[in-house]
Amino acid sequence: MQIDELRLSAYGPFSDCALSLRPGLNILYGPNEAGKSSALRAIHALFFGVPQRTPDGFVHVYDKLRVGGVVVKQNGDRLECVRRKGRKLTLRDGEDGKPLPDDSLESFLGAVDEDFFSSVFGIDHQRLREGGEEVLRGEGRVGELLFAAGGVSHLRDLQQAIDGRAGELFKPSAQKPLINKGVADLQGLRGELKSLQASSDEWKSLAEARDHHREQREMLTEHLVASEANATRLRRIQTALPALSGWRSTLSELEELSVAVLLPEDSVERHAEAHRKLSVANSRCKDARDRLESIDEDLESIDVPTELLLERTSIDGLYKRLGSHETAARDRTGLDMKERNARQSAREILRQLGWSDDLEDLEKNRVTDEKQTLIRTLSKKKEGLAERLRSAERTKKRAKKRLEELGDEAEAPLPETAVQELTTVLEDASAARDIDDQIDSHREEFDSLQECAESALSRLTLWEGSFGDLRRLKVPTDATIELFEDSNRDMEARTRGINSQLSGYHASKQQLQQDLAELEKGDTVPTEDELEQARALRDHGLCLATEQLAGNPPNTEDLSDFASIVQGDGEFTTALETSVRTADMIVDRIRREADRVANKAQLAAQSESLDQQKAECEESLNAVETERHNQDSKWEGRWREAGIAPLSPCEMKDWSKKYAGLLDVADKLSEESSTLKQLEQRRDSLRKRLSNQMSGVGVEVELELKTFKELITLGQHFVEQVRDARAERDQLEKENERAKNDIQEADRELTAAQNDLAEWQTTWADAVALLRLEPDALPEQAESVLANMGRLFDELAEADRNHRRIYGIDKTVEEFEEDAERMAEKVAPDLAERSVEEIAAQLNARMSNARDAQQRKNSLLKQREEQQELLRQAQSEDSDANAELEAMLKEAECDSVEELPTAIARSNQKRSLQGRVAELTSQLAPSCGGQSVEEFAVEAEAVDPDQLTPRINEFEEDIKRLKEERDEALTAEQREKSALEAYDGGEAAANIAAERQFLLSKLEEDSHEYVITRVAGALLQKSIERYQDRAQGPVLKLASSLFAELTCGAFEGLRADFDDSGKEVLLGARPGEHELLDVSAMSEGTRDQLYLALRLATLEHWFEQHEAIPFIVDDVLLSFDDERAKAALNCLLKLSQRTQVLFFTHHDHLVTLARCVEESSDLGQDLHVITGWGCHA
Amino acid sequence: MFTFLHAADIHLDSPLQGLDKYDGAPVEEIRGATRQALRNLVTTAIEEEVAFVVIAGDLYDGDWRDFNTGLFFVQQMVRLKQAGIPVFGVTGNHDAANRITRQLPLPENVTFFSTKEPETVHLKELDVALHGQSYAEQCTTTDLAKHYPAPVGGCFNIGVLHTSMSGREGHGSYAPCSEDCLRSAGYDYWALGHIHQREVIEGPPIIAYPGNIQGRHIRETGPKGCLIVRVDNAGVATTEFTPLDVLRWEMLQVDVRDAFEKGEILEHAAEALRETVEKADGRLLSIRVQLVGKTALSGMLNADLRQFTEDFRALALDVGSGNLWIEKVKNGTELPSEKGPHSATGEGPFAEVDAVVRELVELPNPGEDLGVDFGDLERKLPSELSEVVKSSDPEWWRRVLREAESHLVARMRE
Repeated sequence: MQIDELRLSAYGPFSDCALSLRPGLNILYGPNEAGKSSALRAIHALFFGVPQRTPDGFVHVYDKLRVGGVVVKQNGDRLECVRRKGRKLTLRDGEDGKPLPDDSLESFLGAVDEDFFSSVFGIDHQRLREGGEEVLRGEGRVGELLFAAGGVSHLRDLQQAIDGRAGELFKPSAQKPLINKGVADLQGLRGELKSLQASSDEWKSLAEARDHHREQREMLTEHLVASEANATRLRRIQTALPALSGWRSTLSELEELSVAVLLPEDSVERHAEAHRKLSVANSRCKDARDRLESIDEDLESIDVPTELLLERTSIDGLYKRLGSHETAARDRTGLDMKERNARQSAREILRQLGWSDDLEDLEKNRVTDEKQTLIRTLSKKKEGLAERLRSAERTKKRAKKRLEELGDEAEAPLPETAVQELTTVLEDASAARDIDDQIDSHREEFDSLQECAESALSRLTLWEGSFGDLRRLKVPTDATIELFEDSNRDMEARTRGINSQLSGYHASKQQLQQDLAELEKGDTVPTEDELEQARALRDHGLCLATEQLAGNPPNTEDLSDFASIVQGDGEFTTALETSVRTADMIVDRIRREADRVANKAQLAAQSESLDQQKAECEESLNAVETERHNQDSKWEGRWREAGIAPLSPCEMKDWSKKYAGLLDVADKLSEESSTLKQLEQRRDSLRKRLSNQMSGVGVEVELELKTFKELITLGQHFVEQVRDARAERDQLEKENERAKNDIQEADRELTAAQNDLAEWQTTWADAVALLRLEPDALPEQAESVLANMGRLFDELAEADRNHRRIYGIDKTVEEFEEDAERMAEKVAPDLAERSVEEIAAQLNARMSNARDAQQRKNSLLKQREEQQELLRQAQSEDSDANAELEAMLKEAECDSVEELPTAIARSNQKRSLQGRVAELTSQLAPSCGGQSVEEFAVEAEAVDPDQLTPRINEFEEDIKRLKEERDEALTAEQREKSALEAYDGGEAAANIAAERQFLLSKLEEDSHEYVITRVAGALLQKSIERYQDRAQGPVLKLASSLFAELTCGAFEGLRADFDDSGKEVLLGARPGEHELLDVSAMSEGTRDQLYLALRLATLEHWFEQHEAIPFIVDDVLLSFDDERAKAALNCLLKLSQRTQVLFFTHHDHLVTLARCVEESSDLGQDLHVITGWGCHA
Repeated sequence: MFTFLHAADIHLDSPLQGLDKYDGAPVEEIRGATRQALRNLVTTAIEEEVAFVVIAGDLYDGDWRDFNTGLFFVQQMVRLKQAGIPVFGVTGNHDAANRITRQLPLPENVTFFSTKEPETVHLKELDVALHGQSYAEQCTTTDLAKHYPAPVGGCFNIGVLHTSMSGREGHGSYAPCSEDCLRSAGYDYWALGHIHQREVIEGPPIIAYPGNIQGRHIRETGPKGCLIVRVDNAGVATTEFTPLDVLRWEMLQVDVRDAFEKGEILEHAAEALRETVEKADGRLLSIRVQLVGKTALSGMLNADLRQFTEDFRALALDVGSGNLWIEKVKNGTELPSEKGPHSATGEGPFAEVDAVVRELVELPNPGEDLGVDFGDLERKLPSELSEVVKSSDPEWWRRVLREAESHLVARMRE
């Protein structure tokens, strides 16, 4: 298989780059950065697909990546395809249109897969260097070298990795490897497990021992309890013996007192108490009686004045009123004084007023408040009225004065001029104020237009005249011109058509003539005409000859003519012969050259027909020419009226356009001129009207000399002056009028004020009469009277008030005296003659004494009641005490009080004995051990007191022994119990078992890996050996000669030999078999060449049995000197006879070397250098 | 109407097998899994307020010696006693072989049927009769069921039996009996034990294996637990499975066909793992991952499956948030190409390896020819691992050679 074309459509830096490749050695030269590595990857991608993560997607996105190509098999099968990136259906047809089956390329690649391709059919500098290294590391071992060169790129590393891993996993006698260690750990865990597992049997024996000890302990405890009980009982008896005897004797004493009445314990106290209470009660009774007697005596000695006490309220009231009575008497004097003073003041005021009225009668003279207000209002009004009067008079005076001042000015004359007309004219004029400017600009426009027009007119060809003539000129319309132009164009086209036909005929004719000439080349072709002529000539000769034979000799002239016609001159006979021969010859030729003749005849016919057609054409040409002539004269006729000799319609169309433009200019010119005229007329008329009006109103200036604008300004100025004067005059008149009005108004005001004053005078007179004043009294007078009158009435009121209070005091005094006298008469007639003040005081003193007496009596009555109560109590206590004593007697079953103390004493003794018995009983109770004392006493008295101690000692010894035995049993039981408790159902052992499983699992994996690794290693070794056996012969032979060639003869070849360990190794043979060199003794470059030799040999060997596959070389010659590089290139050139070689490089000297090699080689043209394919960023 | 709990094959303290303790594995969480499962059983019985519990044999592993295991069983039975729940059981082949069984003092709520002859316990208040016979010795190969007593009239009759019935795969044949024999006994429910895979044959009578309560290795996958049997007034029973397991074993097949990179395989697997983890309701999972499908990465996996397994476990840490144990990763993938890896290179090194292996597998003792001797290793390894290296077995050699070849070829291509 070979690659015919590689298309880097979109890959790495490439876009639409196609490389044509040939069989043989292709050197792909590109500078650095040309994308060499992308191109190498592209070839790989084309064959085996684009890798999932390619570095070549930096320009084109992944799904746009494309690499295509054309590959050809040795049998000629051809495939054009494109590879895209993806998982499935990545191979597509050459147009990248339809997918191809993914395995379409497989038959081209033979069965070479991706890995094999890259390891066998590709080599780069790095791989070469690694190969060289491997040669060294493999110490030249033949098998390994061959194996590695066969496509295993890192054989030595692989071997070491496999051996190393196996060693890490297991060694028969070592501790560190994983499996050895795992086995040891597992052993350890087994021991641990055993120690942690609790045994069932141990558990059972422990449980049994525990149960045994428990039973023992329980039995011993029972015995112990019994012994302790006995010892305790004996000790009790021993302790109780003394108390028991006392108990018995007391019981017998008690027996003796069995009849005595047992009295309550407090009988002695009760008896004494009753006696004491009796005596106390007696003495209290006596006391109370004595006190009662004394109180009764005191009561009789007290007297209470009951009548006086009945008047208690009245007497107290009288005494209280005494105080205010004295105060009122003092006040009365002051009030009397005040009254008199007020009356004195009133009389004084009356005098001031000059009135003689009596004080008591004054009331009727009081002026009411209403009247007073009226008077005061009038007083104020008086001043207002007077002011009004004065103001009116002042106004009138001022107005009169102004009227006098205005009088002169108003008399001045007014200009009576009518400026109405002038104003109208001025308005019109100012509307056309800048008419002069307009005129100027229009004139300029007019002038420039005229200049333009005249120059245009002068430029108009074919015609001369003025604008007026121009306007009158009658020229054909544009439509007419176009009509003529069209027909001219039509005619021209026809002429052109005919001419081209004619020239066609000419060409055909020429061709015909050429054909004819060709036909007659060297020899004319005889025609029928020629034959006719020749025959005619011959016949003529024959006629002549016949005639001569017939004896009619023709003219010699005829004969010589004939001869001269036939052959110039000569004899008739020869001429006749010639003519006959000629005619015959023509016939012969005609017959012989019938084809040529026919051809010639046909050519002649064609020529004739051509001539005819030509004639027809010429005829039509003439017709057209005639038509054109007519047309031209018609054309000229159209222009004749305008006196113009026309050019062609086309030109005249242009002329007509210019003419129309000129007409437009003429129109504009006349329009402009009329505008100018109108403007000037208007200005003149306005000026005239203005001057007339102005001189009419007497503006005497040199109007003619002024411009229109100045005139307007002058007029406006004049009109303004007139207007101002008139306005001033109107103002004056208005003011005059106003002054007159003011005077009238003032008069009216004056009259009104005077009327009001008179009215006021009447009212005033009535009002002041009340004040006893004259009607003409001044307001101030009235005010003074009013003030005095006010004060007078105030004083009078004061006097009355005091008078009323004095009267009230007198009345109260009178009542008090009456009451006091009445009271004295009633309760103390002895006081009747005294003063009321004394009466009141005396009564009060007596009342106070009476109260004291009554109080004392009440107190004594109360004391008597108390004493009576005390007496009753004492009597009751006495009877209680007696009752108590009576009760005690009954209780003690005594007849008299005297027996009572003895009974009480016996009772006390009995009680005391009973207490003692109880005491002893309780003292004995602890010793009784739950029995009654009686039972215990019986039991104790049965025991021999002397044997008590020895028996107790006996029991105590038993107890001690039993306790020890029981404790022993308990300890043993506890021990077993806790030992059993250690069996807690815990999972320690189970956890170790689980741990063991983890280890086992790990160990299983490690063991498996070890087995696989070891077997893989052994397989590798065996394969290497077998491969060596198989490949050694042919491959080594090839490699040997390649090595000699690659080293340029420095080595003769390779030899196999055995090293110290008996392995077969490769050695380099120096020329002449003198020296064999170990690989380690070779230079680095030589080892590289050795590796290359092996690689190339392997390839060649492979190609012997397989379809060729292109060999891709990527700059491997970098470290070779020029000689060896040449040698290598030569080897590659040789290899390229077998398969296509693609040699990528970016070193131009290699290209040069390659060319050198090719030149000196006899291998034919198998080197192709491909440049310019690089892709430059 | 009443409810009872039927369990069997508790195998208390039987260790979990085949787990390689790697960094980040939930070692502590799976510790004591069988014990926790038994606790769960007791808790379930109490919560369901069952009338009684039936245990159809195999409390412990036959060769397990730690008496603490028995005591733990007793502790749990005491919990049932406190709840007033009686327990009826038979011993199985494992128990018969174990000393613990004979020594263990059981609380009075626990009754094991006699080993000498079939017995009947009549629970009068429930109208229930339980029939059963324990194993006297491990190798009980007679048909015990044949001699079971006749059913008690008017009662719900339960037969308790540890049996392999008529041959269940993967379990030793003990007390064999036929299904027909059980059917014809006239009982209402056969509470069986011995087979670790749950199986309920609908009745009447219902013949049921509840399976073991906690899976212990990758051959015991899926939910494990007990059966809650509800018997209605008409004496019709229905069973309901209740999971008790702490750690669940699952086999996860991950199809990685067309994967181009290791990362993609991991992504595929993460997805599958995530689904499995979600289904487990937060339970601990032990998963064996079986990669299948055709992929170009098959070689890479062959070359270093252990490294890949480590990567995978790191991923599982993330996905399973500490509840996931990747037991093993197995490579069952194949190369995509039909023609195999070396046909191209009939003369090359790869073809040589293939040829060598082809020759070796035909030999009776390839180790000798290869110069490989595993005798030392075989002697060192403990008996549990006797299956791992069997250099006298040509079949073993065939497997090893094929695997070693894949491994070698993959590494040669690296």
